[in-house]
Amino acid sequence: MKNLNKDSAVYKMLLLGIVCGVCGLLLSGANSLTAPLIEQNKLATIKEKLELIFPGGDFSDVTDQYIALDETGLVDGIYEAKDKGYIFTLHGTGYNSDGFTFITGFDNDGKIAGFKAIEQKETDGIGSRCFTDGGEYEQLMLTLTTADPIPLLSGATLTSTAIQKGMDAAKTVFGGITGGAVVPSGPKENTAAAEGTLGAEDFSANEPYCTVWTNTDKPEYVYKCTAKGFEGTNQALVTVNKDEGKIVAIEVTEFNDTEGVGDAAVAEAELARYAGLTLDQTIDATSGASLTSASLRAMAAAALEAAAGN
Amino acid sequence: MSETTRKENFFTRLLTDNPVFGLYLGICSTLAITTNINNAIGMGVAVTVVLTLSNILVSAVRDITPDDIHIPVYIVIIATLVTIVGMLMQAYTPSLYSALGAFIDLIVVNCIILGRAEAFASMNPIGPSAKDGLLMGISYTVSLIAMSLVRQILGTGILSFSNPFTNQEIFALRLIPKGFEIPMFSSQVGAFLTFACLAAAIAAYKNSLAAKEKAKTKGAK
Repeated sequence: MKNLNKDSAVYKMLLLGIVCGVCGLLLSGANSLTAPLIEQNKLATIKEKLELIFPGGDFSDVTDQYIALDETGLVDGIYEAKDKGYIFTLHGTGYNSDGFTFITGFDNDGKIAGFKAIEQKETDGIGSRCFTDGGEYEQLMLTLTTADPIPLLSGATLTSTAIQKGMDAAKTVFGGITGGAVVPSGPKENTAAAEGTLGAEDFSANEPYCTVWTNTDKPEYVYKCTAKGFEGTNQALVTVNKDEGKIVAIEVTEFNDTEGVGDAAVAEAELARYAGLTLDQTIDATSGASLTSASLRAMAAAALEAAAGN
Repeated sequence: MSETTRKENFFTRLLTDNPVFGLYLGICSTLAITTNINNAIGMGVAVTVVLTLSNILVSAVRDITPDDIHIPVYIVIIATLVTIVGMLMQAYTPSLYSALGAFIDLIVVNCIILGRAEAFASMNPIGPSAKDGLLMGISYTVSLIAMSLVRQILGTGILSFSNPFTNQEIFALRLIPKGFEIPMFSSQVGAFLTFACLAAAIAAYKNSLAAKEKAKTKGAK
């Protein structure tokens, strides 16, 4: 450098090159020293939550690597649990405009390994039911895989719709990472029900309402339904085969209509008629107990619709 | 120079040549991060380290750097130092790093650093440059602490400090009873108000020094 003129372009280029080279070396040294610690710190803040999904897992943050696979912007973080699966932190907005954050994970077979809220302020007893620890919605989630649509929770539609969107985003990213099959949950096309069928009947006067009760024997889902009859509100457990969209059985758990009149509609033989019923079929009202019968048919229709994801 | 005069000089420089309240440099980060003492000390130390090292390095390369490429050379040096300090903070003091946010990376464009590199280190040997960087860094830190003391105490009523490495609280003193604190001081409005009052106080002190000097010169005549 001594023979080079300080004002020559070559000297300036060389000097800038050397300065940049030395700085680059220093930076790479500092990076190799701090990168593992930074990674550890990042994980430490979320590790407690990750442990809920895959206890004792060996976690690494792969957000930067895979976040581009998410087109919805709902995925906040992606973590790999070595040899176990992938965990996703997500956000959504349900009823409370502040939104909520939650965490879910899929094991390497695509089964949902966990579903927990990180932070949520949804209405107590309504939207918050989606996040109850060990609650019905969580239990239901744990029976599903990435190939299943995510169901909505009756009575908590806004919250569960936001969760459904987030879960779909996570499923898409998971599918992108593993190349596995993913079925989005999006609302099913409402095919116009043929006139006269159960699906076409208007039961709004009965105010039917169903929630998922249990799902112990897949694809059978038990829905706990209520609907107004003649005097009061009746309650029944409706078992639906979700894959076939058929009623398996209906069991009346609470009868509040006129004894001796309405109970004709809840007789064992009458209830047996519901087995195998779909939304495309017709079921006649029980003569002499048409109002109680309407409440039962309303619950059957609501359970079938809930199972269809509408 | 006697020890007392040297000390007096140091404190006078700390106030009159104060980069924040005297020269109005690096105000953006000062207003933004002075919500508590932890942030103030963290940012102050980070700037002091970068300022001292950048002054040393700039001074070391001053003779071999042609005038027309000195700015890119200085910027590369400063940016490298800031990135390294940022990495170290993210690794060893993660909570402080996340509290200071983008302001750590923005030290690169802090006027104090490039200002001292350009105005002092590029013209002076390594020793004085290091001293200048250290003094300026300390002045900046003192300014941040002064601002954050006022804002934290008035805004939250509590004076607290926690270990940035472990995030463990070292002390927390409630100086203003609950309900009597003024939360405005934790917001931007409070930052501007505190800054204006402190800057006015320093200006008043500087003016009184100048008046004394004038009177002295007059008396000597």
